[in-house]
Amino acid sequence: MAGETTPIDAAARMSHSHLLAALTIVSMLGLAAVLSLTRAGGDASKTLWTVMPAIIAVTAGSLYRSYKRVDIRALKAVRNDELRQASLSRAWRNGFVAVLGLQPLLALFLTWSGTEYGIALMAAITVCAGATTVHTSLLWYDR
Amino acid sequence: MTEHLSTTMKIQRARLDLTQAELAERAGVTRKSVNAIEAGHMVPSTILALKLAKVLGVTVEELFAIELRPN
Repeated sequence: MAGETTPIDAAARMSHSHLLAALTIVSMLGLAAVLSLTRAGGDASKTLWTVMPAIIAVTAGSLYRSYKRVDIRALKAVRNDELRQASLSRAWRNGFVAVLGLQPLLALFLTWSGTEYGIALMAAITVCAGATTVHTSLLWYDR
Repeated sequence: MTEHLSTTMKIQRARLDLTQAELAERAGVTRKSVNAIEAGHMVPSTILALKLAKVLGVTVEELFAIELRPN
């Protein structure tokens, strides 16, 4: 059996690729939202919003097919794995700290820059930064 | 002095000629968890310690012990 991929290994690998896909989609959504709310956006944000549904559909389809190939018990073992649970707790904590730390910086920057949709921009950046930090941390601890 | 968890898991695993992946599969955890416990980076829960001991055919006391190390 040495060298072979066990069902739990396969499930862990699939879970890792799901996390990576989620991080990519969250980052793209955040980028599109920020571009839409700033003057710098222009055509880039329109293009991003246009291609986004197609990218999400293709990614979701691909992930669903890989999900169907994995043993459900192995997937449950990966989700309940103690190391994964500990990593998840640390990732949530990192996300919380990032969101808290970002608030004063965003408040100062958005006030100084005089952006038109300051509050909406602050909300979009906060959500995106929090989600990105949680996903990136989890991927880092799960490497 | 600080308390650390020491384990004979690697020895017990070698006794049964099991790889980390095989032990992980039998205990229902990931290989990373087994690796983290063996390396002393993670302290398993009581349930996981019991599961690992059962798979390796030893008692929890034979598998894990508290080690005192100077600060």
